[in-house]
Amino acid sequence: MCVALAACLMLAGCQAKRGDQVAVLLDGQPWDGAPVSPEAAGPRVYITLDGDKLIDLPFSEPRTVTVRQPDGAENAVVITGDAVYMAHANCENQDCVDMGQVTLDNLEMRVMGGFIICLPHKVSVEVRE
Amino acid sequence: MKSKAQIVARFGLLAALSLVLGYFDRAIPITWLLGGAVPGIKLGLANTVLLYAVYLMDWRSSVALMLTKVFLSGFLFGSMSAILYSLSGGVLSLIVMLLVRKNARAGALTIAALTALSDIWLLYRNPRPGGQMLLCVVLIALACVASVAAFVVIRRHPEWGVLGVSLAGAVAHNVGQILMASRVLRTPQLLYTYLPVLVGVGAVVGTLTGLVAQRVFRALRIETTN
Repeated sequence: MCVALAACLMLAGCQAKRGDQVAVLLDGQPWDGAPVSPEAAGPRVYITLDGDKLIDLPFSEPRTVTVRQPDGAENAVVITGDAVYMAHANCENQDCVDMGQVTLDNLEMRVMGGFIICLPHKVSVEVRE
Repeated sequence: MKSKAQIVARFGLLAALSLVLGYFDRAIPITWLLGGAVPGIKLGLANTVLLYAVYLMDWRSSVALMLTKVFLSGFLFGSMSAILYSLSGGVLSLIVMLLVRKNARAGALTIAALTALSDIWLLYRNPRPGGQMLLCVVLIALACVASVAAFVVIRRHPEWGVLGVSLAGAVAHNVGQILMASRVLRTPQLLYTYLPVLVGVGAVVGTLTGLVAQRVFRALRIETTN
């Protein structure tokens, strides 16, 4: 009973935390929300928060994307042009940083496929056609 | 008949032990040993305490111990989200361990089947695995062999039953966590490749902790033949 209640509260807390105060920075500048190079060919990088898409960008264009959440959680995703990796995250386990790079060559070899996931911050990065 | 004080003292001791072992679990870099291939895995030494509880306490005390461990270690070392994942893993693994306790052989056999299926599924999706995937396919195959070996050993020597319970519990723990993770992140794609790998890794660490638990049980002269 207590446990169910606690779990519900936690889930409710997570839901309430979400919203439009999440800041997305492109190369350090606030992103205006406009589609990023929609005409670019090739695979794209999808960044989602809590299962909702925040932004998608072309895999082939070098950029740094920073996701800053109201509770201080921050993730920095670097797109080099032929690889994507989590350069920095202020989470407690650093699993996402340790997951290494996603390149077009290692998509099939990685256990996580095209995903890089920061579980504590509920941020996921996926490279997909 | 045990006195109430004895039960409370034992419960406190086990809770403290599971917290300390949980801390050791965090400190042992098993992810690093696997070259970062499988993020977020632990050895699960704390699970040996739950194994002890499953054999020596009634199910209510085992549940209480699991909840104590999840919430205390969550508040001490982790975060709210960490509690959510360890709770889902803990609940599922405890249910499975309580169910399998009476029939450890069936537990080992189920895990052998699950690991075999996982390997076949991974090879079906990617017939020429390389890099991390190759490592995982080999690891899961080893886990399958270990589970079959556990089944054979338990059939000959029933006192090794704790090995089957440990295997089933570890795999169930991983399955519970990944189900919660894919639900929270709403990315069911995670299940296609990551779930089979976690089943395999669970079987490997389950074998290791089962061996540890068996030695401990023998040293403490605890009866484990069902």
